[in-house]
Amino acid sequence: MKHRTEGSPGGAPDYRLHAPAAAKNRDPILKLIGRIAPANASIFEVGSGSGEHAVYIAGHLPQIVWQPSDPDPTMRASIAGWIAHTRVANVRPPLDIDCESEDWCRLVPMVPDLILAINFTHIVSQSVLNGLLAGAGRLLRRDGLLALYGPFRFNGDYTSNSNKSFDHMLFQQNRAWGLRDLNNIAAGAAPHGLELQEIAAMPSHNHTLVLRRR
Amino acid sequence: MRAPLLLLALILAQTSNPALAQQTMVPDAMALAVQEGLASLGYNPGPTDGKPGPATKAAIEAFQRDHQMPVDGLVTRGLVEQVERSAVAAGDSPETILARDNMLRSYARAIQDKLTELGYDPGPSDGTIGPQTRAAIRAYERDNGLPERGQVSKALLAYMHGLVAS
Repeated sequence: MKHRTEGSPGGAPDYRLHAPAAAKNRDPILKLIGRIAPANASIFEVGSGSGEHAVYIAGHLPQIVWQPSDPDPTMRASIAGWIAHTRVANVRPPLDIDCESEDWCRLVPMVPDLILAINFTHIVSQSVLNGLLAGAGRLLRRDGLLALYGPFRFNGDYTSNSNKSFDHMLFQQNRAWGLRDLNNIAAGAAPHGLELQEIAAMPSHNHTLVLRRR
Repeated sequence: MRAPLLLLALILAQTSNPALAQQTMVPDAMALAVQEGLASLGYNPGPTDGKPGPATKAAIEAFQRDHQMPVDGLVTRGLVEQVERSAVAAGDSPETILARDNMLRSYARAIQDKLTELGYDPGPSDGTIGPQTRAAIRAYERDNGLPERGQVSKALLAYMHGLVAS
């Protein structure tokens, strides 16, 4: 979870948030992006959260351009804080984007090679997930990619007991949340021209689903 | 193969209907958590009913000013976390906060399952927090360089599941 960082040296308010867990999965995600995306890729991220993934991954892939976004103003302030703190040159200022309506894609000032959602699909409602898929289908060019990182179900099955009780907890917290099934995502993506290209196993029973625009 | 997919697509189309989504969501859960947290911190958010009115908005804005956050008076996930962190800092136990929201058992069970999977021994996966579960949490916290608290908390489960912003 997040900790507010100590005050910045310049005396300006420091809005950076810190998610210790980001340090655990950022290298496997970096490696995956390096493999599936072009070296000079334009990357658009939904639900960027604290912004630590953005500055870390973009810092290691200097040729890419990374556009972060989050509908939560606290998170956008944190993202901007991390960009300022790391002085990373290839992460743009965060956008206020909520995927509830598929028209979110009109607010993105780039045609991305890759749309990325890290730990997103299980903590949004089905309508936000559908909005993400529909908007991604409209925004991506042919062969453009949508990558979804997180815990998923496969044909109704959980990949671990811990993911099952995690799913139960999410449901208790918010009836609209929960681990999505691969079949659900594939069926929701197909009408928008997105087809499953790869299911990449990630640490801690997580996966990245890579969908390609036809 | 085609028929089940079509059926699934129909179900998806139905659940994407905003009116249906409204019925299945619990939109006020975050507002309630914010109101309860702000009240315990001594702000005056009005009635704790999960319906943010002018008093709740004013209390959120006061909290945001006091914590050098962007001031917008809105209930968001980021706000819920900041309020809960402040409540913990002010002496509320994370378990008290979870129990208040009726979430303690499901969090405890999720943490027990994760600990078992990682090779710790928290005892049976029953959502009951006994000495064995607390010892396993402490061992996990020690191994990961976290402060040793031995408590079930949202922060701990989020850490275990790599959640960046929930």
